[in-house]
Amino acid sequence: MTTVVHPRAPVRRGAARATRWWAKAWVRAVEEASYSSADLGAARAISRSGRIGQISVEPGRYVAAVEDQHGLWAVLGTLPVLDPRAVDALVETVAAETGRVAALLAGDLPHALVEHAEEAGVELLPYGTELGSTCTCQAWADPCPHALAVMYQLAWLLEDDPFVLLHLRGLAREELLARLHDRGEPAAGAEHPGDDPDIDVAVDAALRAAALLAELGQ
Amino acid sequence: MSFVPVTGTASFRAGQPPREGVVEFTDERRTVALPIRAALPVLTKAHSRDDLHPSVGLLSGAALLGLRLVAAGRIEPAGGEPSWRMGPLDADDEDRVLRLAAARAYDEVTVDAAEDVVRAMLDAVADAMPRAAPTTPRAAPVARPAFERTLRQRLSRYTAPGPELPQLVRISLRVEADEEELVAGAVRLVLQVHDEQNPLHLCDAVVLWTGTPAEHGFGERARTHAAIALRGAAEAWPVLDRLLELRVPDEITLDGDELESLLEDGVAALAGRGVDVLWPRSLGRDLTATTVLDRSRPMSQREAQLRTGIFGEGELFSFRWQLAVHGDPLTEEEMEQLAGSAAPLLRLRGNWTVVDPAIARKARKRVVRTATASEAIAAALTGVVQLGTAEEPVEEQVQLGASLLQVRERLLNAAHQPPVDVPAALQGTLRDYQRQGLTWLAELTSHGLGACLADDMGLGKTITLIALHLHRVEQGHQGPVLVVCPASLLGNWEQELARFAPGVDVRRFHGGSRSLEGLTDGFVLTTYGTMRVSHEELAEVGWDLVVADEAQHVKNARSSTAKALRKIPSTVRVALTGTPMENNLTELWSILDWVIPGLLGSRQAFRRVWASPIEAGVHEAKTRQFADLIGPFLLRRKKSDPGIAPELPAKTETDHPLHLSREQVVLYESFVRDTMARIARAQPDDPVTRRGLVLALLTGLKQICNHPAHFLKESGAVRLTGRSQKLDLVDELLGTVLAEDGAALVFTQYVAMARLLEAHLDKAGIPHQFLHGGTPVRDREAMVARFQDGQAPVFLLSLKAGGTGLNLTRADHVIHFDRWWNPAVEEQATDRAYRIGQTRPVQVHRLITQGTIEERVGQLLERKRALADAVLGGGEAALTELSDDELRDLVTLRSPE
Repeated sequence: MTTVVHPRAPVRRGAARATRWWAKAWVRAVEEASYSSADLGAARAISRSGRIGQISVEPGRYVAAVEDQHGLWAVLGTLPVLDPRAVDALVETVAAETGRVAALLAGDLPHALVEHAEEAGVELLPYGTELGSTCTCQAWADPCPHALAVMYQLAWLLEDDPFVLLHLRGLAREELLARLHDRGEPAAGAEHPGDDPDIDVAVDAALRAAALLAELGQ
Repeated sequence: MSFVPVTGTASFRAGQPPREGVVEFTDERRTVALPIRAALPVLTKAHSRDDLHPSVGLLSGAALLGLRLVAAGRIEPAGGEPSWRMGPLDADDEDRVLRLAAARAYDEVTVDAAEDVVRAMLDAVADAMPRAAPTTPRAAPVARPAFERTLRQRLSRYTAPGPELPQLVRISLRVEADEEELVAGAVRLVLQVHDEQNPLHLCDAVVLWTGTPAEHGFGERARTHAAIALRGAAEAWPVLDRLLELRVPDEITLDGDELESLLEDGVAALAGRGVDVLWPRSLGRDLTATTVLDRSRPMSQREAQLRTGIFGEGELFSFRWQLAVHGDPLTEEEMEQLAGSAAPLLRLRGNWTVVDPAIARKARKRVVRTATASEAIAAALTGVVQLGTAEEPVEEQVQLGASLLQVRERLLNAAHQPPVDVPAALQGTLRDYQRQGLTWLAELTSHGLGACLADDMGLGKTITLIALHLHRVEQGHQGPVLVVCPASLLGNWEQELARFAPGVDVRRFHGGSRSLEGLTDGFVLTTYGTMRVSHEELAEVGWDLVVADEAQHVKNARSSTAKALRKIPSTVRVALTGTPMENNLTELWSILDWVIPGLLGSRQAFRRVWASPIEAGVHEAKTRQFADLIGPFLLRRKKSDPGIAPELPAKTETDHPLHLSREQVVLYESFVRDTMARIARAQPDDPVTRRGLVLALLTGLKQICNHPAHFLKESGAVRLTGRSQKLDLVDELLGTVLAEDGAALVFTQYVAMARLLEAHLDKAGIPHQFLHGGTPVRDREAMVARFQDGQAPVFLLSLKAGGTGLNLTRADHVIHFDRWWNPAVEEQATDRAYRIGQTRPVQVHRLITQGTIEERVGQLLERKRALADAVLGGGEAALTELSDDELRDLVTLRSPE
């Protein structure tokens, strides 16, 4: 479980609209999730005010503190994590073209990548209904303006780095890169498919023994 | 673990399968029996304690050995009931077992028994460590080695991390094509990956993506880095996007258009990103283009014979592209083929060649541009041509076509032609170097080109030019010659023309009543000032030659004088000047641009191409090129040149005939009138008064001839220039003398005139000294020293102040501002400069105003030798004995013929 803490965003002047297409899609989802447009307006004001603290992002959830005139509130947001099979499919989609990982690393989420993933059954961008949240403020409806404000800031984070989206969905950057690398490696001992489980067991035993010995200082 | 006693005996009961073995620990208080899995931690930790019971020590040692062997991957599946056991031990391990047994044997347990216990423990540990039993029973020992090997291989990855494999990579593209692809006009681009640190370590991208680290030798992240580099390259050259779309970016095929795009800008753009494009040896890339300068239309034989000059009317030259492969020029057909081919791949002379689109364009549009004759000459002499626009000048090497090579040869050898015959009409002999100069001028002018003769003063430029005119007349050229010179030199030209070419018509175009009526041939002399004003009238004449004497007067191309001169057309232009102008390129441009229009380009182009680089001194080659360019058109000899000096006499005497200015004429005539009247009125019995009046008359007239300000006793801030040709000529002479780094003595009888000269030289900023009768002796020596040193190149001397003991051998010019009746005194003054120790030829200049008393007295002295002797003896007092009529005859102003 990897957690990435994104620093506090400073005050922004003027409308801070999302420009890249996936950030816009996220914002549409946020607006779907909200019950009232007044809430959205208040949320936008809060997000620009610089009064949201660091946002901690983990697969499936994010946490942030928000301050307004009434006090300090804590927001916890959730969205569904992709199951392991879907993560595999996502990795496979990125591996399908050489340029995709390079684009991601350059801060671009190619349309073709998301479409291809959808065909494989992986919905990268969430629907509004998938965005859950709770907040310590006593608002009538969830998501409250504080939560919405945090979601707006997430849009900016996504825009700068699409890996944030993948991380929320359960595929951290390092893991993706490691798996891409492993993909091309022909499995060792593939000439003896029947031995595989035994070898694995033996390897596992040897490694544990080595670890024990290391602990004992031998 | 104090719960489990280790101070008492422990025993091991092997189980079946071995993982069900049990270790029993006992002491006084309790007995604990643990299965092997649970006992392992106890045994291994207990190993370090001191108070172990020997049996515990034995078991503990065996347990540790077992763990080590498992960690080394020595286990293997056993037959029968699925279980693991310790694989065959090698010699070292056997040895360890025996030593352990020997060390841990105690009391009643023998070494053999201990050994058995150890082996049983090893098997138990081997079976206890794996989490699962083996799936398939190993049938025969045949399968065992394979198992071991594979296991070892897998483990090696973990236990022995190899050396750090490089992660950072660069990419490059390799062009490949086989024969069919080339025929179809297509090539393949293969992606290569190489280590950033070690350029020799490279592999094809396909290996990096599909092979093992053992095969490609790169680290884990190399693939990602290669992908990032590829994305950057695709930004530079978007055709590479096709590679990015592949799962494994191995290669793409380029069609003709894409290959062209690669050649045109792809290679450069990719190079900007650090991505090289590598070409196979079999694909030639050595096509080059050079410019060739030649006539636009080749001349037929007949035309070539008819030509007299190099350049006829409307002659056109053009710069064309010539292509070469490996330096070998292509034929016309090959260039046509190149121009016509659609794809950038071409079979040329048996080899496939890649054609840069830039070169293909040059093959299609062969003519770069046309050139005028002057540009052609400039290119022929320097070997380079300026192409491109004013904003982006491009200098290209140029090769010369055959006809231009001929032209170049002739130009370079103009000075070395066999000497022409001296024209018969010339009344005088030419010295050798003058004949050489004539030959050179004749050669250049016969081609219709101009020339600049820049010999030192006194070497005879005037006579050389007169000879040139006579030569051209002999050759059949027709038309008058225009000579433009400073006013103070008009008399000189007239005198020399009269002396050397008496049959030639000479007309002076100067003054209010000037006219060109009835002009057919001969010389027309005019001044710069008159030319500036009347250039339109002058431009209407069909001049054969236009000569600019003392051409430094038009060194400022922006002056109206220079502009006017350029408006006078002629077949040939010659500039004469004694002052070297090599130090100031802009002045040189001004004169050479008039002599050969267009040779040096426009003033701005000249500044940019030649003047700035040469003055900055950065490019040696530029200075040499410039010398090559102007060399054929500039001839300069100095007095000190080895071929010249012996031919010059030690002393040259020149009389400069001058005219009076209008002011001087008025003063002269009125003074004569007044004083003659007074003399006539003087009583015959009063010889003293008459004598006084005559002397006063003679003195006054001499003063008027010198300068009106001298006569009028003006002093202070008065205008001196333009009122006396003597002063103006002195300016000309001193200008040349100083430019030649020489020194001059100026003699005058009158201290007042010397003072005026001093004031004039002060204003001109010329360092000078004045030595006269009143100068203290002490100062005299200092002044002489300063002059000989070169600190004050102009030395004004009163004629009487001479005296012996003055050594002024540094002077190479002596100017007699006014005449002394006694030639011997003049000689003596001159000799102060011309003495033993003088190494340079000396020029003596005598300034004589025409039609005045100065001229007359000289003639009189020659006619009447007796009077001469008397004058020699008694000074000018003897002149007072002349009768009134004789006197009047002497002093009346005669106008020059």
